[in-house]
Amino acid sequence: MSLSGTSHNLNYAAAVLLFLIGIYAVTARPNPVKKVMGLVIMETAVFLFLVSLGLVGGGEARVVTPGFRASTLVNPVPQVIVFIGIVIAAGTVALALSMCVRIYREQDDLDHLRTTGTDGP
Amino acid sequence: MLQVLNLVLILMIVATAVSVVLIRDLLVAAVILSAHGLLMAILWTRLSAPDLALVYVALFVCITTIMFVVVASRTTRKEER
Amino acid sequence: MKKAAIVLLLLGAGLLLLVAVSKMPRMGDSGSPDKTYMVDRYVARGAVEAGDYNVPNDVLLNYRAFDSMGCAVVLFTAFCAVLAILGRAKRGRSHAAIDVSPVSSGMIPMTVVQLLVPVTILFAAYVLFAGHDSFGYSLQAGLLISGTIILITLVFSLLESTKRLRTGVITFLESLSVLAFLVVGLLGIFLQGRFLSFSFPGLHGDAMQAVRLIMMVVIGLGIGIATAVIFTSTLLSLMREEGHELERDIA
Repeated sequence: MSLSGTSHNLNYAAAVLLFLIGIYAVTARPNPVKKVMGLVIMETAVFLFLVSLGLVGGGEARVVTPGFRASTLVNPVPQVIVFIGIVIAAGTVALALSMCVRIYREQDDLDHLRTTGTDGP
Repeated sequence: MLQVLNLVLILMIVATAVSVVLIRDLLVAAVILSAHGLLMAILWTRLSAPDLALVYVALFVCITTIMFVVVASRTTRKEER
Repeated sequence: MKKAAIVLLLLGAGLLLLVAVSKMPRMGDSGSPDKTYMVDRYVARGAVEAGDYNVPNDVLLNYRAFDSMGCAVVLFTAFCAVLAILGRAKRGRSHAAIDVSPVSSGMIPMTVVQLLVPVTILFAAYVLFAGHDSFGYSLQAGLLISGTIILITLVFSLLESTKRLRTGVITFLESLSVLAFLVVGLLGIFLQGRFLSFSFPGLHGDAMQAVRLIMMVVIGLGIGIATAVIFTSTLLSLMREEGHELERDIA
């Protein structure tokens, strides 16, 4: 069990760290808006991990110019996956925030979510 | 030289993420989240993904920041301990 | 107590994940686990087969167009759920933006926004059509246009912004991305027998490339416009408030 390999897998280690920060925000903070911010940080970490998988050492722009060599292009497939993931992350954030606003309209209090209805005991 | 730039960017990204979690004022946290998104977008261009950088800036710096600010102004502004 | 337990659990999980990360192949190595044989084909023959010099763009719109359709459908579904939860900002019947008072901002933001908006929309149009040769895609363009409309809403009031958007047109434009994908896909079924195949039978060479380009531009326009309208409507629905609506005429 040695951690000596993380110095040149720096992006992966940073993605793991960001993911743990996001999980802490989702689980240990009472406010739902803060939990949604933690969800955004978790998604950021996953995207960083996915794109760093596709790096080719010395790889450059992935727009094909007339004199290119195929081995120097960065892997485009993780970029496509992350692209779609970003759109879905934004949809998730929109939906979660709309639920927060609606809960606040009904209950006037966001931190303690009541499950027994507005006029129950 | 450019490896140092990647390292500095990653350190700042982790620092902004930690401060988003720890700050209790939701408006300040939303603004710091947009700074986090901007630093991530710079990192995407360092990793040869300029399409991703454009989408990230347009989405997380512009749209979700405004969503968080609107929600923070419509609901509570400070979260409890 | 609960936070201490969470932190301990996260530290343990983090240690395990870091050990796993240290055993992964080196970053930038060509033997990375995600390099399958398909990637070599996309990179080597993408510009010729799919017609775009922008390799991720032709993976998105040609090789993996079905996944892009899934993306458009998910975005539309999330927006439908947002409308079901929050309700739509009605035309001409909303109050001003974030603060409750109906006074809009001062001179400087209004002038700056009036000067900036044409430039931003022009840049969005460039990004929309530049995906063929350089960086750019329809989604970024849609988001730029949506950001512009939100900027106008913030500086001028929400009433002004909703007065200029007709509900019927907005409702149709929101579903444009899914409609574009479905129309082009079904056209592919009728003409060649496969969903989302971008070609007519019996065409070769330049005509085939032109037809393929037109279909990809149609899909791109659909995605761009629909994304713009979806995010604008989401933010307008978030901004509106019940019980404070001013009853005003639209005219």
